[in-house]
Amino acid sequence: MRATRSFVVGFILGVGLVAVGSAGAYHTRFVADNCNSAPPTPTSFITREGSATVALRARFEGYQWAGGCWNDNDRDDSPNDPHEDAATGGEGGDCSGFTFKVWRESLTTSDASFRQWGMLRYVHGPYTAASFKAGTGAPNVTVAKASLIKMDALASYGHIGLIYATNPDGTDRIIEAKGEDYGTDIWTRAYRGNPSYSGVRRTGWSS
Amino acid sequence: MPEAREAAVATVMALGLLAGAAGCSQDGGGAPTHLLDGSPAAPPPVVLDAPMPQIGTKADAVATSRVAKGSLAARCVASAPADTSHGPAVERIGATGVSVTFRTASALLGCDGDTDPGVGDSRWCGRALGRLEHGRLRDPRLDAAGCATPAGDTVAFAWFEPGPDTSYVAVGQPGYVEVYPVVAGLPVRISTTSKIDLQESRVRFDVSEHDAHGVLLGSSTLDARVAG
Repeated sequence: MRATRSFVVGFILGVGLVAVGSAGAYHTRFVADNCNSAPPTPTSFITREGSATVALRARFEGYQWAGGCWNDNDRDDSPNDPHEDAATGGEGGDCSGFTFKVWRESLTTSDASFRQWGMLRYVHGPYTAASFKAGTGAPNVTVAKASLIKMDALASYGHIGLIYATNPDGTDRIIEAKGEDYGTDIWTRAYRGNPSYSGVRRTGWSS
Repeated sequence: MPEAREAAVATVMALGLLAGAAGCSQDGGGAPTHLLDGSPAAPPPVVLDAPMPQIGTKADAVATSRVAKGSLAARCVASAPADTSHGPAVERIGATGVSVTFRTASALLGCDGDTDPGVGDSRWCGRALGRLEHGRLRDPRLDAAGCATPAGDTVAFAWFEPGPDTSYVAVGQPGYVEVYPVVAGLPVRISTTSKIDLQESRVRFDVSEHDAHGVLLGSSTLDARVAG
């Protein structure tokens, strides 16, 4: 009788611990199963249209805090990850990781040359949105918002998005990794008129 | 008994070697002799249950509504979004980094520096914004992009949230321990020049927490990644 009761108590405890453990360690297998650490390809020049193409491949591919790896099947393969958890291993970049990859930058902040990163290369880069806003790093400069054009960025201390197109009313179509609840997509935004946002440009475009 | 004596001798020899290394390293990147503001590096007010030597950092809480013009806090708060500060700002001066931290209604804001804050043209080399959820940070907001020592080594900053009984946070540095007093209940903006993985955009901070008497409460590794 006592043995049976011990077994039942132990079983319930075990199930409870497994459940708690699972809840406390949420992660997906996307990064582990798909992403790589391949070195980037040095590139002699980049164009704004070329970077727009790079950005569009990330569209609909989800969002991952501190992430930077995605495929091109137009869906988030790891939806509903917990917010701001770098360890969840999901698909997509976050706003600054997405910008780093689209702008084809180097992991070395003093290096302004161009690096072509594969979509499935798991890399975030050294910059936060706040770093970009300040124009930190050799490739990045702050510019007046009125002079921003396609594939320039608008950055606040907490977010950065890239200008995909401008609208006649002064707003912009922004391509951005917005958040876990939104993924990566193009939205019309009024960042240009928001004083929290500054204009940022990657230097060295060929066209 | 002979074994015990041998062990004691070995321990003393090891400590001597470590002390010698620390002493030599003052010229080669070990325990610093000064903080960034030029003041002599001194031990913390209490000796912590942590490796030696221990260097105390300065921390001061000032009301954001009454910050002195030109002060560290004023220069940080002034550049933040308008009328958003709640409570005090904490100024910190360490051996390789200076910082200011203050709270808004929904976030923690910070400024990071790598030069003597008393020098007129000193500027922030980093900024941080951490969203608060139920009063706690979801992410330590690692900044490892813009700050460096005069020798060119990266200085990385992150917030550490101490436990309720913690009075001092100690961070392991190459050849010494840097000690941060907990002030005004705000997360502590710690910095380091070691264990920085630029390839992974990731930094590991070796941290221990101590009570007001220096007693060790716990130790951990803050594994911070660049994000957002």
